[in-house]
Amino acid sequence: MSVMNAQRYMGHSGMVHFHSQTLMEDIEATLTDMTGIMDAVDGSFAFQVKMRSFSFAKALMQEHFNEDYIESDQFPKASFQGQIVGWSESLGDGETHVVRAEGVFWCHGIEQRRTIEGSLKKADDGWEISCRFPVELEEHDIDVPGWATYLISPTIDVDVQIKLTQQ
Amino acid sequence: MRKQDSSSWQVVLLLTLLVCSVSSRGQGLLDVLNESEEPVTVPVSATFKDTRIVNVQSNETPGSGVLHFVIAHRFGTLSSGAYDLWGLDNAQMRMGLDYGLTDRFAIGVARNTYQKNLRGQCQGPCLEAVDGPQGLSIFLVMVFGDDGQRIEGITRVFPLLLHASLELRSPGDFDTKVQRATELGSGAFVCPPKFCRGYG
Repeated sequence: MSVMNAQRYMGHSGMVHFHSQTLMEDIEATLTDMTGIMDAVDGSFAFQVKMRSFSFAKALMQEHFNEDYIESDQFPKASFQGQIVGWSESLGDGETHVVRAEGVFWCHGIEQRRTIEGSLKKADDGWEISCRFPVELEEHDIDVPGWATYLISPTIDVDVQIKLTQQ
Repeated sequence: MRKQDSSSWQVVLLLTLLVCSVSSRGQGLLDVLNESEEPVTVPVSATFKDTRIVNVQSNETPGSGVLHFVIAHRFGTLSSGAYDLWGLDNAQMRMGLDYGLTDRFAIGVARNTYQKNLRGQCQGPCLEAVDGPQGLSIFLVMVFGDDGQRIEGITRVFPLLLHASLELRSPGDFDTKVQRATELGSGAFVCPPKFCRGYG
């Protein structure tokens, strides 16, 4: 067990940024307290964010996000848990590698199987991971009323960056 | 016969254990993450949808850097009859500008038809309701000026209006507590008859 734990890497200050763009409005939000864990034996991982941590430029956007769309009281967290495809020791050679990860993305109480491309780099004291992926609001049952479709894009681009250090 | 029975039970037991260990391994890393997180308390947000509830300030502020323009009307009485369109004719208007200096602190100025008043106000939290692992929390917002002056009796003495809503929380699920707080809060803000008479 201790051997397995020795290969565990964790981080508590990952950055998540998302962006919705329409002709009428740009909506952006960022959080910097994403948690993540990766097992360097088999390349399995889990990331998790608290939805209330997202901070917006406008207070009203943040309120609508939490109250009307993502319903943070009901669904306080989103997570992605999965496995890096074709995991091998050679990924830890200090270079940046583009990898694919398969897993379950859980958001707004709905899980979706996703394959997400990202990059992975072994640094001296841990792993640097970043990825970018789109989230379809419809797939996660996030309702946008008709009048707001001019303001909120049906596809949200999500950027993730985290550094995991050895536990 | 008995021996066969017990060995088949052993196989079933072994399979069950195997299935259990596989499924718990699938949840493993997310569980480790959840265990590593400490329970945090976050301020309750959006108790009301607006900064004004009927004729008084709610506990909400516009938010940092937001300029909030509010036009509010206070109509006459229903009993004034058809000639005054049941009160709609004698509306008094309040035009207000609020500005959020921080997320919880706001200043504002408002012009009221009543006595042609121009009044300023500032608003900030004394105590905040939080969502977290505790049983009771109190929510107190101070609003200086503006409407405070207009409520007969109370405000002649204290030109300061305290908005308070008390949250009674039982240990258990947080969602229901927040809901209860919201209901209690709106009852406390909207109902008191003192806010509804004395001017207009």
